[in-house]
Amino acid sequence: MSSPLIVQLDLAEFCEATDLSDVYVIEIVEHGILEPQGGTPKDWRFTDYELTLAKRAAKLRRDLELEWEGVALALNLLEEVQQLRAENRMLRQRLGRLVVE
Amino acid sequence: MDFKDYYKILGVEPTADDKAIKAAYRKLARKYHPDVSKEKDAEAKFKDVSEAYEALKSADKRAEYDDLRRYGQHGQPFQGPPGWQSRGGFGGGGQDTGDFSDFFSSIFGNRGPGFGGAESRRSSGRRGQDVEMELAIFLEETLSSESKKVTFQVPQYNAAGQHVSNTTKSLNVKIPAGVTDGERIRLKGQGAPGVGGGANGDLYLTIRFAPHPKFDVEGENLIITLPLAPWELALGTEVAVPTLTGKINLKVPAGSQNGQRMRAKGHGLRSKAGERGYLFVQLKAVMPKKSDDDIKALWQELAQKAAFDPRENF
Repeated sequence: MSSPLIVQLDLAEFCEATDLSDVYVIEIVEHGILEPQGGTPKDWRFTDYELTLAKRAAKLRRDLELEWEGVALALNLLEEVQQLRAENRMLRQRLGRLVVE
Repeated sequence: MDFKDYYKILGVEPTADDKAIKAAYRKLARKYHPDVSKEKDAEAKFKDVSEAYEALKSADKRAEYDDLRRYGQHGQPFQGPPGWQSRGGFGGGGQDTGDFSDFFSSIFGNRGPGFGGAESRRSSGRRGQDVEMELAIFLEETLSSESKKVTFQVPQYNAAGQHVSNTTKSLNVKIPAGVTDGERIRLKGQGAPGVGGGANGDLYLTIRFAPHPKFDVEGENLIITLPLAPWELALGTEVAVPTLTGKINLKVPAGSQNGQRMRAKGHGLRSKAGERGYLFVQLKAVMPKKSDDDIKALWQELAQKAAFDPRENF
């Protein structure tokens, strides 16, 4: 079985795919919202997943007039909520099989 | 085209000051933001709220709107006062109104906030919108790479950047083996077409596992609940247990406990590395629904002979 394909994007490709300026992406990275591999912006490599994250961050910041710190916090909490919801869904499904009506 | 009462949408009085309007907008924006909200129709409500705020936040737009408001009622068809000329369809100052309603552009033309702003790249043309959708797949489909037909709506924009319609697009997408619930798959260039030489948007699929009638998912492992009679737990038995692809024979040892888990290696989900996780078989004692006097007598005999107190450490 072949290893899964991991798509990596450099800063220019990342900016094109998210439709964000490089200055803006650098700001997002500086706030720890994105964590590309590589030390300097020209060496940065982003994953597919970070595309969604960056777009979501930009949207939250604009739509809700948030500071970057607020965006970072909101994203962390949203991620956690999503995990908890998934876990809750699964546990409810489990429970349903064990509980007798 | 129906009239929209922007004050009503924001839940403020028509006399509200800028501060109250801003506060109402912020509160509703947080409530209905599509990335945050679990409310039904969050996206549509968010658009309504944004549109209302866009119309009311600046003094000149608000004054213009207030003038027209005397001639309209929320949700009723709107034609404007005599002599009033709709501005819909006339190009504005190079910006666009995105997804705002016809009602909004009929008043303000194309003077919306647009997609642009400080964050945007300035390049030739405008990049097409990304399309996001969830794709439900069955657990069975995660074991091998499967092609699935995906049908989705792609927004179409005119040269002025206004949303005119949606077209339906179908694609055969190869779902890689070992995908996980919530995983995103990006299909480059399959979103909305770019405008004026801009690149196409992308299609983002979020994988959702459809609930299975028998199996629950725990990471790479599956759990199945196996119903057993009390005496099967007591005496042990051999049972054919369904797996995702067939059946396995499971030996339940004598003296097994209700709720106990047994595991079968290699019958779980496929990991990214290509290995299969475990199938956990959770034993579940099921009592017979009814028992006649003979059976009751046997239970009574058992109760006396076993002399077992399950609540010793209760």
